[in-house]
Amino acid sequence: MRNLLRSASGVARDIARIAAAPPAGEQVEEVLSLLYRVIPYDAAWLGLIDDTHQRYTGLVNVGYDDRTRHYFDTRELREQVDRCALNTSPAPQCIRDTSFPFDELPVWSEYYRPAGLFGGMAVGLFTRDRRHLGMLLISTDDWGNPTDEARDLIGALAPRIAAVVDPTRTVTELARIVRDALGGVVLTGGGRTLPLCGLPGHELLSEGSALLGAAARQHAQGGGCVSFLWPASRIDDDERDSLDDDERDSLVQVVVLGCPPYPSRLVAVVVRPPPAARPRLTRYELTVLSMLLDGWPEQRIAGAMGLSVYAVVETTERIVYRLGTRDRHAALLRAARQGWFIPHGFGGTPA
Amino acid sequence: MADLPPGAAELVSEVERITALPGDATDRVPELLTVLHRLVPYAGSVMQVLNPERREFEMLGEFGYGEPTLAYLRSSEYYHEMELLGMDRDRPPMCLRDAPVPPAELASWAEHLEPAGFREGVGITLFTPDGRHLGLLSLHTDDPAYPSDAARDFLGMLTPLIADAVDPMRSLVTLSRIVADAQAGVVLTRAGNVLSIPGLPGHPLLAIGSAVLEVAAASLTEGSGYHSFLCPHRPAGGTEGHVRITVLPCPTSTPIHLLAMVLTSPAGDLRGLTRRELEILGLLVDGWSNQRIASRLVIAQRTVAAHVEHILSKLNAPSRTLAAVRALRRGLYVPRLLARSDR
Repeated sequence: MRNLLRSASGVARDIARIAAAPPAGEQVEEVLSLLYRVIPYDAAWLGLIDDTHQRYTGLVNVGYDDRTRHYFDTRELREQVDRCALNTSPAPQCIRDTSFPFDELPVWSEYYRPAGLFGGMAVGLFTRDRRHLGMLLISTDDWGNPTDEARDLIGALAPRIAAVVDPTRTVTELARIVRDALGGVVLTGGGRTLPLCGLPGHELLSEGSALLGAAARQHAQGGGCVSFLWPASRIDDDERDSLDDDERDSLVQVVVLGCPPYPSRLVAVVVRPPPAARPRLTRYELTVLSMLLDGWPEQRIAGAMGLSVYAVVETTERIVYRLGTRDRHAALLRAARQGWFIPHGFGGTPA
Repeated sequence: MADLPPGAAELVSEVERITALPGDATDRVPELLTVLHRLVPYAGSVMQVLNPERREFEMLGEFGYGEPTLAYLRSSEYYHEMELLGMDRDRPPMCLRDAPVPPAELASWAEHLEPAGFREGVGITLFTPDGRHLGLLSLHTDDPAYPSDAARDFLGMLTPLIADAVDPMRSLVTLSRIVADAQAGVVLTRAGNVLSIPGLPGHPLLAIGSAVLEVAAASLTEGSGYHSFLCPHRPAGGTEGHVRITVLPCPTSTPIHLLAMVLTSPAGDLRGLTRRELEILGLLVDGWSNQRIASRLVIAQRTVAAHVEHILSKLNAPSRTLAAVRALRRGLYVPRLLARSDR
């Protein structure tokens, strides 16, 4: 036992080394091969749960045949994971530990046993904020293997393994480059949101919200990192007349950070706006600014805002004056760089 | 069985969670010490980080010691004593009973800890995976039976995690992965100094006082996100080209004196933009008029207009303003200070 714990300590160190090294693409393979020092296994598999929590996607497979490997990606396996509560508890389980007759697990009776894999264990992987991330499956040809000790050691190593394979870790640090954050979420390619570890969500950032739609459109246009302003509360139609109000208190700054390793992923963070730093611009002017930044001609802006072309020209001149620049080009660049605009919806103001 | 302490997996999860908390290491240490009490029923605990220049330990957090003992733990005598015990090397946790010399010969023990009522203890040396010496965690008990051998060995398993929790650079290494093809990088401090990033080499463009770092620092006053731009560069023995510079503000999980991480990577797809066009884009991004650009570059205004025409078609932009906005967001420009014609 002592030797096993010592070697597990060595494995923990090696996993830390892998986690700290620049990603070489084979980190997960390396981690699985390290586990062989704790359990001399015949097969091992690690998969991550997809965004919809329907099924797992295998990251690495060592030793399982194709039929079994494909089975791991099915909803059926997902249901068996549920039944064993491996998706809610970080406790590792051997096949002999199930609270019901293990013959009721198809993965055992139809896949493992026919392949001569009589022993084995499974452990759920969780993010640091305890969301289910994936599964680690290990099989041996011996019912008594892994031993209870080896099983528990793998269980103790599992959080470290999860940290290596957790794709949101880098994203979490990315969100933290934004100071004074009020809240943030990860936006996936499918339009779903994921929470960020250590940063609360925000009412403006709920799934399907107008803000997240605007964030995705802004990102699609420019890539990289975009910042813009957004109303902290809904605009009521009867308040629309007060076009000249100073809006500095009722807007939040939004920062949209593209995550290059995952082109379909974005982080949207809502920030407390730095109070006096921004020039006095109305909500209306900030919306016109976003249309100008999209290259809309004055005619189109006039149509969208329900104003005369003359009024739009006048507004543009006022924007240039208020931004303190020598011309319109410089004003627009200043607004783009500082994120001083409110993305317009499809032709109207966001509401 | 069960040399493994009860709730071992849960303990690892807890320590992993604490390691990921934002804020300074000083915020994480008290939580860490609280969790470790479940493993070792200590009466005193102290987390110390190494000050390599002074060869002393600085306290990140402590519990259960009197002031004279703390003063000794901070002294260079104590550090020297730890060196003699081999606690300046990456080694498994060591209990007092494992020490290569009798406790009576250790001043810290004979003159401070034992008179204070401590009977056992374990020292855990903290190193980064790339071998940087970070510090020392000590847990002292008033019962010679604790920590048990199993708890001591289990601490060995936790050591890399504990090291992560106090490593100021750890979250920077994680963040640097945002630039998947980063080739070099440095950390810029608020005082204008440059620190290296573990696992990444430095770069001649990123030296203290360099124009790139000046532009990088200036970019931080704009918006709250990260910034990217191009810099002309001729690698040793290579041909004239560009490298991409990415400026990432340091996350809130790093010490406050660290300002930003500046990384270099291959320039990527430049959409056929020439060096001169990328420089003109840099001026457009600054809001300059064609006239001002012409006098700056000492070329005719119609030459500038011709360059801008090429830029518009390469960026598929209907106006110079939109071209500049696109160039800004994609980092497809050379900032004014980095233009060759400026140096």
